[in-house]
Amino acid sequence: MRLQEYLDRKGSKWKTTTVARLRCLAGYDGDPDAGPAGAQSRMVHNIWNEMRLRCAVWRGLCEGLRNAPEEPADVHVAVTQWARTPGSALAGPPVDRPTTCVYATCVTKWRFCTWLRKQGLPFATQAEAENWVNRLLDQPDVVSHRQELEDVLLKRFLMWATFDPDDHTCDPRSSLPATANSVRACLGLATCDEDDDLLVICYTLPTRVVARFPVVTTACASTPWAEYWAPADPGEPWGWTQPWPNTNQARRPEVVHECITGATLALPLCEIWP
Amino acid sequence: MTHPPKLLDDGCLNREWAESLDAQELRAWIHDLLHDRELDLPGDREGEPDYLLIDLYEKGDIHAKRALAEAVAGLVDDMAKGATPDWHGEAADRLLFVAGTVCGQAIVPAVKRMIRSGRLIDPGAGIPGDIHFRLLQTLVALGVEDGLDFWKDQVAISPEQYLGIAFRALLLSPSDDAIQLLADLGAPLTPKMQADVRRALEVLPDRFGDRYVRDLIEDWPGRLAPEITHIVTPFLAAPASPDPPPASSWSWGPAALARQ
Repeated sequence: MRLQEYLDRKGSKWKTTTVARLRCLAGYDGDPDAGPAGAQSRMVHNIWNEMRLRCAVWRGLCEGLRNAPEEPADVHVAVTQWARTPGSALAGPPVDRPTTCVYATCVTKWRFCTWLRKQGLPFATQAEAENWVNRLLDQPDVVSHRQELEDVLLKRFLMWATFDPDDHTCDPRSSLPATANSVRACLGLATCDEDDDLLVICYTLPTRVVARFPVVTTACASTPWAEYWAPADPGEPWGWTQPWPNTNQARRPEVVHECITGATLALPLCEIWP
Repeated sequence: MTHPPKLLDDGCLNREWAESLDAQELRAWIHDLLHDRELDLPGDREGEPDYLLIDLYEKGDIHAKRALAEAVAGLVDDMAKGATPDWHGEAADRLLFVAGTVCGQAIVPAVKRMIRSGRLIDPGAGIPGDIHFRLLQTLVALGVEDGLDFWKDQVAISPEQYLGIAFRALLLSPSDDAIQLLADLGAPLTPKMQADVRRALEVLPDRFGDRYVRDLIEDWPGRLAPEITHIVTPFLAAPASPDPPPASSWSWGPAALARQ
C-alpha cells in the first residue's frame, strides 16, 4: 500500500502532521549549506511513491513523525529510526528466485577490511586486515574462501545484491562491467568510493534467507540514505538499480536480504580495480 | 572564519572543509557524526560514519591527520571521564574504533582506565556491541604491550570473545607468552576461537616473514593440546619467504604518522 492510502484511512489529523513533516524534510534542500541538492526531497518523493509496504510499517512512520519536532534534522532522524526498526528495512515482499540463484554483492575493499576488524577478527591494524584479504584473494578455490569466511558476516546490517536475470546459475560477474567504477555506476553505489578497489562476492542464499524487494525503508536505513535508488514500478518482478546519470550503464536487477556469512559462497572473492 | 563548502558538487565530503575546521569545531562535528546527527554525508549503502573518519585520516596530510587524532583523543578522554553522558552503545563503539586507527599513545591511559573499571564488559552484546572488546582491540592497535597475566584475565572473562585479540596482542611480544596463553587454557577451543587463533597467525608472515613465524612457533606442537596443534602445523610447513616488506609499506595508523 502507498502512504497516501494509509493516511486516507487514518483521517486528517495524522495526515496533516505527516505531510507537514515530510514537506519540512523536502524543504531542507533549500538550505544552501545543507547537502547534495535534492537528496532529501528525492527520498521524500520515494516515500510517497513506495507501494510495497504494509499498513503496520506506515503506521511506524506516522508515529515517528508525529513525535518529531518540525526541524529537518529531527525529521531525518525520525525517518532513519523508522527505517531501522527491526523488520522495517527488510519489509519488502519476497522476490521469486530459485534457491540455486547465484547473487553478487559488491563492497569497496577497504570497507570490507574495516568491517572484518569491526566484527572482531583479530587484526591489529587495517593493514593486517588487508593483508589477510589479499592472501585470501590469492587462493583460487572457493572451498578455502568458504572455510575462511564461514563464520564471518559479509556485511553488517543487510545486503544489497544483483543477479543475472536470464540464467540464475550464471556467474553474475560475467554480465557486470569490467572496472570498479563502472560496476559502481551500474549498481548506483556511492560516488565517494570512486577509484577504490572493489570486491565482488558471489553466493547462494541459505534456505532460511529470503531475497526481497528493496523498499524505501531499506534505502533510508543506511547512513547516508541510498542516493541512487527508487522503488520498482508496479508489476516489476524485482527491484532495479538506478545507474549513475550520464554513464550509459544499463540497470541491473536488485534485491536485498539479511546478512549472511561466507559459508555459502558460490565463487571465490574477486577484486576489481577502478 | 569562512569555510569552503562542506560538500562537493557530486555530494562527497569536501576534505578542505573538514580540514578548515578549528579544533573545537572538528571535535563537535566528529561528535555529531558518530551520533548519527550528520545528515548529508557520503558513504556506501552499508557505510557507517566512522568509516568516513578513517578515510579522511588515511587520505589527509600530516596536519589533517594530527588534527583528527587530537580531536578523537579528546573525545576518548571525555568518554573515560564520563564528561558527556552520550558516549555509549554504537557511538562509543565507533569512537573507539576510529581511535584505534588514528590515535597514538596519548589515549592509552584513558583506554586502560576504562578497561580496569570493567564497566563496559558485555560479551553478550557480541561484536560490534561489546565496548570492552573494542577497548582491548584499541590497545592492540596502538601496539601497547601488556603482560600475560593481563591478557589471561581478559580471556577468563570471555574466552570465546577475547581469546583472539589477546592471542594477537601477545604475538607482539618476543617472549613465548602467546603459546603460554593457549597452553594454559583449560577449556577446549571452540571453532570460533580456533579460527581467531589461525587468523592472528596468518597475518604474521606478511609483517615479519615466514622464517620469523617458523622460528616463533617451531616448538609449539609439542606444547599444545593435540586438538589445536593442527592450527599451527601449516605455518611450519610454509615455504620460506624473502625478507619481510619494509614497515612503511604496510603500516597505516599512528606509527605511520610518527614516521612522516
